[in-house]
Amino acid sequence: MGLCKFVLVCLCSFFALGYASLNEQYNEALYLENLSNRHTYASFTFEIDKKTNKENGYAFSEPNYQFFPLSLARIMKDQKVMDLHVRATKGRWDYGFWKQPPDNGLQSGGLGFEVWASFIDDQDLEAWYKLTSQLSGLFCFSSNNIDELNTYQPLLSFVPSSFTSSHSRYFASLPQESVCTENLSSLLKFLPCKGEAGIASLIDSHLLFDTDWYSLSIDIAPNHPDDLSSMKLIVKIQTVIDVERTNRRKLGTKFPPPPEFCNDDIANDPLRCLTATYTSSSHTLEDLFHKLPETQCPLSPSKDDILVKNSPSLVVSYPLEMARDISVPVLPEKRPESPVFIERSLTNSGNHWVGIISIFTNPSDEAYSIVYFERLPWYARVYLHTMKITVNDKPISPLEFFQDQVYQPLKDRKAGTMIESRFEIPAHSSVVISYDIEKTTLRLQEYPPDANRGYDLPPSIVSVFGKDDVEICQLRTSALLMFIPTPDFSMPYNVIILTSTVMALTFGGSFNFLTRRIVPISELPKSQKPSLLQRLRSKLKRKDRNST
Amino acid sequence: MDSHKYSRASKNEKGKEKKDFSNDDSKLRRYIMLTYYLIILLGIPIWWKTTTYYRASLPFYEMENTRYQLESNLRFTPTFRITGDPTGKLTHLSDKLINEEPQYSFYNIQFATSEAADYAICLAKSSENSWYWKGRDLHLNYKENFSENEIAIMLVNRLYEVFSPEIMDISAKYSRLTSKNLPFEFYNKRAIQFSPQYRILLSLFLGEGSHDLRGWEIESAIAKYLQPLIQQLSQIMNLSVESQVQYFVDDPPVYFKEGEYRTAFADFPKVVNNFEKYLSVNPNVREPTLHFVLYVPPKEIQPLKLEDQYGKEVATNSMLLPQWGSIIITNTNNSASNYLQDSDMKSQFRTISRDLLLLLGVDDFLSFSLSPVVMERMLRQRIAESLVGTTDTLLNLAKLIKSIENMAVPKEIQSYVKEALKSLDLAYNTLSERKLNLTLSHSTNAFEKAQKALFHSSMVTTVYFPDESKYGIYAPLFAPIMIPLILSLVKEIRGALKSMLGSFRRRKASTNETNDL
Repeated sequence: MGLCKFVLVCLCSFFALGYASLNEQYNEALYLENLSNRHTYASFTFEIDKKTNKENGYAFSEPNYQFFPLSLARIMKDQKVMDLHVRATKGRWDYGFWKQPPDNGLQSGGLGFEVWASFIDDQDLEAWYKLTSQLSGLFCFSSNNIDELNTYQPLLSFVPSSFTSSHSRYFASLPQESVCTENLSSLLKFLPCKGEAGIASLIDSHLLFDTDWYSLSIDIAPNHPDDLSSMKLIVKIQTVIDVERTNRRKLGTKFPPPPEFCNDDIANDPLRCLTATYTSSSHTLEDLFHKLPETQCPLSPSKDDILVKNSPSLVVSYPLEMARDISVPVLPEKRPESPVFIERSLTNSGNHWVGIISIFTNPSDEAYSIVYFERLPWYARVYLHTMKITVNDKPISPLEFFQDQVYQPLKDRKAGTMIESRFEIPAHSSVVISYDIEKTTLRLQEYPPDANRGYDLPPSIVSVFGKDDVEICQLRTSALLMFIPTPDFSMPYNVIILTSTVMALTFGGSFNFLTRRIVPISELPKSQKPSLLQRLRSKLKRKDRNST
Repeated sequence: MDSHKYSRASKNEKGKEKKDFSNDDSKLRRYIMLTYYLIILLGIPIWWKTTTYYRASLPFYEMENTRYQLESNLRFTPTFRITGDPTGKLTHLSDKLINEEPQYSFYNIQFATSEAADYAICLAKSSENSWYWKGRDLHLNYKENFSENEIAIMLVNRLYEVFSPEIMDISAKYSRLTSKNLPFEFYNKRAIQFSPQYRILLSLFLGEGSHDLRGWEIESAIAKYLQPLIQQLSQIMNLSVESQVQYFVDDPPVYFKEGEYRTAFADFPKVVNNFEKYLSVNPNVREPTLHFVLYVPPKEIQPLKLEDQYGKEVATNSMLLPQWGSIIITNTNNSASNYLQDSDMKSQFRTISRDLLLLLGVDDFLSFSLSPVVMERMLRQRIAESLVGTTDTLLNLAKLIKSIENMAVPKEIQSYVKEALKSLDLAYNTLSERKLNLTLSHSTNAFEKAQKALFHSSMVTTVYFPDESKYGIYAPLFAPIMIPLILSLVKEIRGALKSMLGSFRRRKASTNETNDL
């Protein structure tokens, strides 16, 4: 914790200097830290400040912009947004090996996209939909999928310090959305130096999207609570690079196995075994990004743009020109642990009932207050009465356990379930929360095109509060994939045709039975005119006779 | 084959005790068939109800009538008063002359003697034939030895000369609707499409690196050079001005000629496409954006001059792109300043003001401070454009809804159309009362409502269900059911006809028998 604060202080002192004109400032910084001997965390931070001189004015009511992307400012202004947050993440932050998430998890989201915003005035959903559809145009993600089914109004989580009830606040997540190069390029377009100069020139989309974990984020928020005259945009690109794998990429198209998979007889063959293994105790920028930054971004005032964590208590800054000499050391000390661990999984994979089980573990000596924010789509019907809680394997009733709970029940095809619960997790203990979910069969047109892939249940968000109710960490579970009985999609036509055939058959039978008279053969009259068949038969018989 | 035959046969064969029974039998059969047909007949409305989409009824007659409404009601009548004509003889003469000329139905220049006239004509003797506007007064100079008749002819000719660009412009807009092929030579392709509001986006584009320029004094530049014009224009349209700075912009291809760098007109489209990616997309589609770009090339290729298609230097160093905006190459003369001073941008903003007016459809203006004459001209042009636009939109909407039968028409569209028609009527009323400002607000309202109706989001979600799959689904059900039903009906009718014929013959035979007797 202390270390993170140190880094923050370090960053803040950097950003204090600024280049002011049109009341705007731009700053950028690259932070590098080794998480293990093969994983390096890199975070590109770009900050743009926008102020207005008008007393009590709104920064985005200004028409003139220098660094701040006009398109974003315009969206903010049009919908009167107070703060806006977009997170696009792929991969899973490994709490076990990589320990505490960067920025205490406050700057990175769960799998897929997360968007949340609060409005200056009380706004209805219409403004939120307008905002998200405009965002989808800017970031190239299908946030137009955001509708009443995945929009929630959290009351306990995501509460900024400036929160008052008159601001309406909306949250939506799209776990199925994948983060891709077009998201990155639209993000880089917002930066004054684009990807041409400064630290952004290190970003290579091929490398970035090949890493173990990456997160793109945008935050626009007031610098001081409730002061809309000074707003800050933070664009963050974070990634955890597997240095060894990245370096294997350098070998071009050859991807030989790493040494642990090499037998003795092929170990010396460079074509069949990776001989150039990565055992270095420090990584250079070339190792991490396969290139060096070109030029300093002339718009950023600070010259020392690259921050490297050299020891648990020391962050050293380097100017961009020294990029060639920078080495990121592998730290012998372990990183601080995450205060709480959570694990969430699906139980019982039947076609009708499943369960969700979440295990919270607190290994520390301190008790924490936790807000557990769970969202489930409407077709996963949650039954709250099935909720079972055990603390250190001792069952406890939910009424006793939860300090506060917000529950939004599902409405079929209208709204999903939202459960927000606040509870305390004692020191050295684990809490298990489980409940049952009933799967619903969907209507034909409600199935997505890739229905057999399964249905993503968004990652749940866990906010950990320390003493004095300060949010110290935000953790996310992994997303879950739930299967719903999926029909063969030619089914409706088959059903229609089968029903039609059955109907036609029964109709034919019943109609015939009703309208025809059945007469015994004995009563069958000799017809006046022989039928065609009879005539044929008699002719044949006659011929037979004639021939014999 | 069927019971009918058998029953008839049995009737004939077995004698009279079977007759009653077979009669009952055929009656029952008829009832059964009737029931089946009844079920089908009752089913048709249910099937119809469940498979049709909601289509609100639209006032198609009124919508299609807007074309004729426009033809008969769109009429501008600017009036002139000739000063220094106490006898009224000149006025009378000119009025007679102008009425002899073939006039456009929508534009009628009139002469009046009252003070309420829109414009005044001041005549003066001079060595040269010339004219100029001063406020609302049109000053006409004519040679000394003119007779009254010649003055009148000269006056009418001058008026045509003065008003012809406007008349041509309105005529082009008008003919967009009335004639099928566009008169391209008249149509002003430069002007941006009518909209009640526009967004002006001023962008400073800095070429790739290597100069110290960071920003521009845009706030004071707008206040000094652009605000007065926008202030005046705000009476007839909503304009919002925004500005941005883009760094690291791709540079256009250049070549060196006569001591300076040049870039050709022909290369500029590429450059514009390059620039386009930095220009933010306006999320509001009802607010067209006019782009004005100040491009500062990097130091190495300064001074950069734009060259037209004949290899000549363009005086303003700028290029106007129809319906888009303009790009102005700005050379900083290698000053080391971080800022583009507002005084350095004076000529550029003059170009911007000129281009803005050109894009808004004013071709001939004498100064950047818009005289009331130019303003009224713009007002008339915009009224004509919005009325034609509304009519066009409503006609298209009617055509679209009529032509696509599968399309659902929600109630909202109905209400938008009704409001548009109402505003259109109000606009024509105020136009005939010559209240131009009020007319513009009504016609703009009508235009917006009509556009909202045509571009309603529900219009896109037309239900598409191809005919072949319809038949594919219905055929297995209807074919096996309908064939026996129809066949039995045919048989029944045939049987009924036959029995009727039989009874008729029998009756005839019996009458013959009685006659014979």
